[in-house]
Amino acid sequence: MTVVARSLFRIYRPIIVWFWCTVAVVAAVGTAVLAQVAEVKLSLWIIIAGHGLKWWLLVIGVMLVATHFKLYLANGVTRRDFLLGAGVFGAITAVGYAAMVPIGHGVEWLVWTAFGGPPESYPAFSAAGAVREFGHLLPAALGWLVSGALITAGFYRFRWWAGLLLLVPAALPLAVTDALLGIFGPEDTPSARVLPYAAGLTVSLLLTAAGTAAFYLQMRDVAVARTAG
Amino acid sequence: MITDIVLRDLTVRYGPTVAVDGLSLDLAPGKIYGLLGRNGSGKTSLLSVLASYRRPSSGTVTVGGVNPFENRQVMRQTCFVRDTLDVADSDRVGAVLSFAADLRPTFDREYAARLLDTFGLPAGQRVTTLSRGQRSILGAVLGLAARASLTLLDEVSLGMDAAARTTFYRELLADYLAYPRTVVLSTHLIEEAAELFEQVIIIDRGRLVLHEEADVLRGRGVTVTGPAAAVERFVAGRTVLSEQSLGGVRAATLYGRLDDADAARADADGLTVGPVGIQELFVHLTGAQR
Repeated sequence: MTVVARSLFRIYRPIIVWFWCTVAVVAAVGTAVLAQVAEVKLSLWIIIAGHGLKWWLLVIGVMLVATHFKLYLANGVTRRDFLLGAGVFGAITAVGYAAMVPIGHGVEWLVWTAFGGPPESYPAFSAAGAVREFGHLLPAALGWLVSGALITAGFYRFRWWAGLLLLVPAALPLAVTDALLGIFGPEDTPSARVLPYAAGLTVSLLLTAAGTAAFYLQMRDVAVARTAG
Repeated sequence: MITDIVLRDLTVRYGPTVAVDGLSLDLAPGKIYGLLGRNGSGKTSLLSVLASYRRPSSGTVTVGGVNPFENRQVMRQTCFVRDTLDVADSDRVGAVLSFAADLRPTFDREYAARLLDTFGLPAGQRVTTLSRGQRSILGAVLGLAARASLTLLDEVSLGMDAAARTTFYRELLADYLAYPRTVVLSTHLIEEAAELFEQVIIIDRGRLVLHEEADVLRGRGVTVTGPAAAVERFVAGRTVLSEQSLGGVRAATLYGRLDDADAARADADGLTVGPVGIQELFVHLTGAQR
């Protein structure tokens, strides 16, 4: 792991712990309350964690450019090393977040089982289902992360109106991946939408890769802006 | 250790605005340079290029014979502290220093902690709550403790009180003597920082006005003090930068060196000849062009 990636993990470790603790508490309390008033037909964990991770990775993408880029360069790191380290950090974080959703779903399933079994309509947990959830969430997480970084890079490098114009193509990885691989289908389960999964995955990853390349091209020689920290 | 810095026909443009205009400079290593210029003269743009914060629009920069832009070795040994201070406002002072120490192999944590004590800046205080002067102190601590071969300090004493500035100049000189490196100090507080400068670079409207040894620059002018009538006679026909009178005594600052005959004449007229401050020469050299 690079120096930059290690440093970013040191910064984000407490924030990541808070994020997942908060999601766990909200999902547990929400499920307990829901179970008192109605039959639980959904996994609150999947909904909260699945949505939360995408927005959280979008924020990380924004922060990498808006806040961290300048701080690392001010401490003698080259743009290339920062972008590489940020990429490693972002990719590992996306994998970890995407893995946490099926892991949490499994834990939720075990808790339900310990208390006499989940309701019939609750989304059952299985190894194959966990892989499917992960397979949908990881490309989505990467797409949202890259879009966050790319949108901010447009405003960072260019004037505000150019950043606004670039906002639409910069949001494509996020929007397309969400449309093709969103985990919340008609039955709140991973579902292929417009395209079969393999095709959706290919299109999503290609767009995310293109977004990553565009991000690198914008940031590789950008001037370090004079903005407040 | 960073060696020679060479700039050739360096130009920095922001749209139609030319911040640095065809500037050429040679900076030898291991000196303290005073970078002087009026507001908008291109000082920060020049330092930004030296620090690889931006590419020049045209011209070349080499540090130790290589282009510093995106050069890992050079950038690691370069520390640029801007007046706006590149730190996270939400962090505490201690966290800012730890972050720098994690990334800079030459950063001296113990020295940084000592400097905080010397300046009276609490490590637990958040950056966002610091006053303008305290932010500058944090910048000074970052710049000094980094012990970078090329240290670029841009208006780093902005907002510091007199005591803090005195401490900063003293610490800069002491640490520079203990750990020699190239320091470029940009400041508008010329007179009080002038004693630190080994060489002075003056730029105006992005162009190089002057680059020479500080002592040579001081020799470009003299102050003549004595009876008003005698001073008036002596300065007739010379370039007078400034004049002050008190009772029957007048002091005139002249631009230009005195030859032996002039010095003898001044002595004969009962006039005292002394050195002139860099600030007065700076005002003359840059003011005349506007």
